[in-house]
Order: sequence, then structure tokens, then C-alpha cells
Amino acid sequence: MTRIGSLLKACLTEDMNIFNLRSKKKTTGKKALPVLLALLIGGAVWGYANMMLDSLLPSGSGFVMLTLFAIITSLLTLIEGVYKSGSLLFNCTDDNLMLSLPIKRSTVLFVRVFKLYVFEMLYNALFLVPAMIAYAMRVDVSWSFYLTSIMAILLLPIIPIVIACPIGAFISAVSSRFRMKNIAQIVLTVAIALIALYISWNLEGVFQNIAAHAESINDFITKIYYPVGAYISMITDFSWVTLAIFIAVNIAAFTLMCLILGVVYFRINSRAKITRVNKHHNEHKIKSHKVMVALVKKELRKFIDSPVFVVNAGFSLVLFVIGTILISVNYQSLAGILNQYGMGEKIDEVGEMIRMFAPLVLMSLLLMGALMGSITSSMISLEGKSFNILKSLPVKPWTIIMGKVLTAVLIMLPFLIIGDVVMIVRFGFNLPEILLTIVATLVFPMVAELIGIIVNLKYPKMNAKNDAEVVKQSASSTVAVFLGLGMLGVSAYLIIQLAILKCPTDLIMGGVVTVYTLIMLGLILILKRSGNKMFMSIDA
Amino acid sequence: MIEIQNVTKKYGDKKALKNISFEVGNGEIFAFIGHNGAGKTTLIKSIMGIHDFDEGDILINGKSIKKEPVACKKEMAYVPDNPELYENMKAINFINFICDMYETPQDKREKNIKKYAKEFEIEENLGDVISSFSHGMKQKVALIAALSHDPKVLVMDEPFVGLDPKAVFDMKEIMRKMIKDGKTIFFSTHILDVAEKLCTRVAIIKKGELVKVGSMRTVKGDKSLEKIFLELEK
Repeated sequence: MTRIGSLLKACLTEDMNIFNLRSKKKTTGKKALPVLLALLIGGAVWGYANMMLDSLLPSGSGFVMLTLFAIITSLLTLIEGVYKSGSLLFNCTDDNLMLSLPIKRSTVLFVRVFKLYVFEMLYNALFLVPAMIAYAMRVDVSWSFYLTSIMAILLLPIIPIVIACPIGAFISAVSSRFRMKNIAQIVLTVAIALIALYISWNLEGVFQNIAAHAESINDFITKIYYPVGAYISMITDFSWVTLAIFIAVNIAAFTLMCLILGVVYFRINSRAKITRVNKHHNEHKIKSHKVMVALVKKELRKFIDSPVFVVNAGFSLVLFVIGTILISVNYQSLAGILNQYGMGEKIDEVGEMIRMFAPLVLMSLLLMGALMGSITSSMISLEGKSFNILKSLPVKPWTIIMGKVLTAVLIMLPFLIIGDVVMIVRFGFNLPEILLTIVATLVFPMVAELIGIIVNLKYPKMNAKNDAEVVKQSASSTVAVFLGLGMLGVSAYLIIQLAILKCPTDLIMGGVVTVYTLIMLGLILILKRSGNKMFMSIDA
Repeated sequence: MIEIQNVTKKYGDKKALKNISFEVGNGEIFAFIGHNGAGKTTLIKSIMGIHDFDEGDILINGKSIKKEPVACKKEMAYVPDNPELYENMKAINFINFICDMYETPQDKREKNIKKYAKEFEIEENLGDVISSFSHGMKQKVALIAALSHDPKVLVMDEPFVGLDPKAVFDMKEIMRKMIKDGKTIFFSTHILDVAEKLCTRVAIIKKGELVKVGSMRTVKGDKSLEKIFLELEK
């Protein structure tokens, strides 16, 4: 036990200090930004939870809000766990050290899964805690609510992780048999994530049904997903026995998974390490490129070779394409959404309404696609120790930085253009709308990627043991996601409000594009002024 | 030519380099030796413009690395102590990438890559992914990448670590050829025998301070370099 404790302490001390708050070098601003962002996200979640409570409390079913938050965070943990576990558990840079220690292989696995659990638990807490506070402020709760909620925050991520890790291991095991194992891993991960997403979308109907029959909610959820059911059951009717079973089930599931997966863990990990070499010596083509072309090629290579990077970046882009196609094919659902905001009542023809608002919907989707999947927020950190090679090259840091931004924009553009074309053709945008959409398609990714690179220059993580630590668990990726969420929320809110006020579509689009162009120029100015200094101050 | 002028580098309150000054002339092989943590890598990274330093300046063929980093780097090549290369790239692509960054002409890079790959006996592995290489093979790739653009100044951090005896021999021969062409070689090493036989000048650093610098003959006198080093360490 002492050895496991020491191992966990050693690993978590390094990994959980993602904002490097103990560093003497950090300025107050650098430390305050993540805290401020966390408070903003917490505040937004709290506000949203209160809105839900407004409609649920009159029928005495306020706990449905907590159920939805618990289910959604569990689903997110499951989907994230699937594509993070492949990278977090296998082929880590500290494999030689960990596997040479006189400890069981299942212990190595336990420590790595535990690290995943701690990060997911903290991430979920950011959403669950404000929701729980909102509930406690509006409903007369006893001490048992606080005890149960603390236990729920600690235990709810466990079952999704217990399910996700074997799936991640399966993907790693299968993909390691292919020559191009990274591509295989990407394809398998995307396929499984899309299946999980499809199932969760289909659960929407189930949730609506549950909300309509809130009296039987506890029984129903207990049947389909035990952990959330147990939590809700304890909130409404606390029992020590239920709490004990809740704890025991989670701990037993976690331990069993580590023991069972531990049997095959070493074999999968060893296979994942194998790099296939060319059996035949071929004449190699040596071809010179311009500096920027060479930098972009190198960045693209790095991107494609990291499954977790591709899946993370590609997720919002794939969702964007799916979203535009779904809206184009089934625009009645869009009419329903617009009706909720009171925009559909005075327009008789649904088709005309969709045509009127389609450019704004596309603009919001473009913002989502660009801002939710910042690629550059990981690009500096992923250099790791090889960052010194870049620093030693006779190339200005500005060129290297812009090479990364350009690569990220080039990765995003094909997806964004597909979505644009689908909606422009389907809804027949007029010329100003087409032109503004084209500008937005270029400006939004630039803004997202400029933010990403600045954040990564501010919060680099050069000593990661695997790509997932950088892409999913680093300060820069977290800050970039939160900043993107915040900008997306504010922009979408303003677009909707202006549309409600009957502001002309062209004017709204022009306004949004102008604001984002100004932001882009401001970010370029920041990079021009401080990029070199930030780049050179990073010590790999 | 490398001119190091009163260079001081601090990590927080700790001085990693204390007012270091010396020169490495053209046609010289210069060894930089010192115990672990003495400041060797810090000075090498300062010379290469990998990190900044607090006081002083470093001139490469008369140009300041602080004021004209790109121009200085164009004349240099760097071999790091631990060859942390782009693991997912093929060796040939990595070397070609470095040549692209130095804007090496097509014919020159083709000639040099073939020449050095043959000398280091790695021709057949150039098409393999770097992550499949041993430490020594990675070191060879780093060396070929550094040499392929014909640098005027070669800066290396522990270049012989991990190399097989044949590669060490070839590397020494390449270094000798380079100084005949009037180029400058500066490297750190713990292998004192090699330094003693190969180098024209030497500097010894201890806890960030330069304790001895000069020609090999002046520094060691009749004693071996190892003996001098151990005496200074006491």
C-alpha cells in the first residue's frame, strides 16, 4: 500500500500541477486566468442550473436537473475516456521506469487509470458543483445531501472510466496489428465515439420521457444507469445502506477492471511500442522545400501521427459537418429550435424562416467548429524535448509560430468549407451572405488558433509522458477550451438577441465578422510584440 | 569563430554561469569539460540561442546571438546531448527538414546526406521511423542533420555518447577534416581521453565559473587532462 501511495503521490504531484501554480516564475495574471475562467464557467453552469430549476421546481422534480447533469458528465467521461485511455495507458515515455520497478503490472495500470480518474473527477466537478450549489440554494436540503453529493462527485466518473479503459485497450490492441496503427487507432476511436454519441442522442427522447413522468424518474434511471439512480435515490431518501453499496460497487468495479485488464496490459503495451521498419532499402527522394512549407509539412506529420490529437481536433469539426448536413436535410428541427426563442411565431412559411436565419445558424456553427477544437493549444507542448531543435534553427520564432497556426487552419478549412457549401447550396445564400460566410470561414479558425498558440506559449507543458496529457489534460488546452466556450456563448447569445430584435441578417453577420477580424488583428499584434519573448522563454 | 563575452545566466536566484569569457577561433577543436551540473549545457544552449542569458554577449563570426539570432544560427549546427528528434519522422525526412530550415541547396544536401550516411553506415536505415532507432542511431541522425548543411561552426553537447567505436572514429575524422577547412568546433564531453587527443584548446568549468582555459598543452602541462580535471574538482 505504501508503494502504491508513493507512486500515486509522485505521479499526481507532477500531473495535477497543470497550471504550475507553485512556480515562482508565474505572474499573478498567469495564475489568475485559469481561476477566473473556472469561476466564469462555474457561474455559467450555475445560471443554467437555476434556469432548469425554474421550470422543474413547480412540479417538485428539481432533482431532474441533477440527474441530467450527472448523466451528461458521465457520458462525456465515457466518450473522453475511450480516446484518452489509448494514449494515457499505453506507450508512455515513463514506461521504462514504471515497468522496471518491482511492482505488479496491474499496479502500473492502476496508477495510470487513477490519474485519468482524478482528472475526469476534477473536470466533472466544475460542472457538478455549481449545479449542486444551485440545487442546495433553491431546495431545503439536509446534511445528507452534502454528503451524498460529495460522494457522487468522487464516484460518478468511476463507472464510465471502467467502461472506457477496456474499450481504449481494445482499440490499442486491434490497431497495433495494423501497419499504419495510428490511422487504425484514429478510425476505430472515431467510430466508437460516434456510436456512443449516436446512442446518447437517441437517449434524448428517453430523457424527455423521463422529464414528462418525473414521479417514476428514480426507478427508471436506477434501471438504466445505476450510479446516477443511486445518487438521486439518496438525495430524495437517504440511506446508509444505499451509500455503502454505492461506494462498494464503484470501488469493486475499479479494482476488478484493473485486475482483469492488468492481465493483458503488458502484452498490449509491448505491441503498441513496436515500430515497423522497412524491410527493403529504397532510394530516398531528397527534395527541398521553402521554410514555411517544410514547417507546415512537419506539423501535419506530427498531427497525423497522434491519434488523440486528431480525434480531439476532429471531433468538433466532424460535429460541424454533421450539424450542417442535418440542418440542411431536416430543417424542421431547426424551426423547432427557433420557435423556442420566439422567432417562428410570426412567420408562416417554415422554409422562408429557415432561409432567413440559415446564414446566422451557419455562422454560429462555424464559431463552434473553430473555437471548440483549438489545435494550436497543444502544438508547442507536443514538441516536448525536441523544442530545443526548433529553437536552434535559423528561423525566426514568428515563422515557426505562424507555421503552426497555418497548419491548424489548413486542417480545419476542408471541414468548414464542406459545411459552408452544403448550407449555401441548400438554402441559397445571397451574394453578401456568401462573401461574409467566406470571410468568417477564414477569420474564425485564425482567431481560434491564434488564441490557442498564445495560450500554449503562456502555459507550455514540455515534459508530458504522452500526447493525451498535452491534448486533454494540460493547462493550455483547458484554458483554450474555456476561452472558446466563453466566446462561443457570448457570440451565440448576441446573434440570437439581435435576430430577435429583427436586425438584418447581413448586418449581424457583418458585425460578427468585423468584431472577430478586429480580435484577429489584436491577437496578431500581441504575437508580433510578445511571441518571440514567450517562445524563447520556454525551457524544454 | 565564437566569442563569449562576460556571460552570466541565472535560474531564479542561482547563477548557472558566472561571468564566462573565452574565444574559440577558426580551425580549432575546443573541448568544454566540467562535472555534471557545472553549466556546460547551459552555455551551449546560450551559444545556440536556445535560451537567453542575463549579462554579456556571444558573437558568432562577429555577429551577436542576442541581436542577430537567425544570422548566427545560419552559420552554426547543433547536436544536442540527448537526441530528442522528431520520433515519428523517417530519418531522411528529419534530415531533409533540417536542410529546408537552413535553406541548403538541393545538390549540396544530396551530396552531404549520402556522404555522411555512408560514413556513419546508416544508409539502409534512412527510410525508417526515428522511434525505431537506438540511442546511437539517433545520435548519428542528429550528426548527419547537423553536418549536411556544411556549418561554419559546429556546437555539440556530448556528441560521442551512445556512438559505437567505428562511429566515434569516423566522427573524429570528420572533425579533423572540418578544422582543416578553417571551421570551428566546440563541444562538451566527459570522455577526457578523446578531448586530450583531439582538441587544440580546452576550458574547464566548475559550478558555473571558468576555472581554466587555454591550449591543451598550457592547461594540462605534463599531466593528463584527467588528472588536472580531478585536481580542480577537489
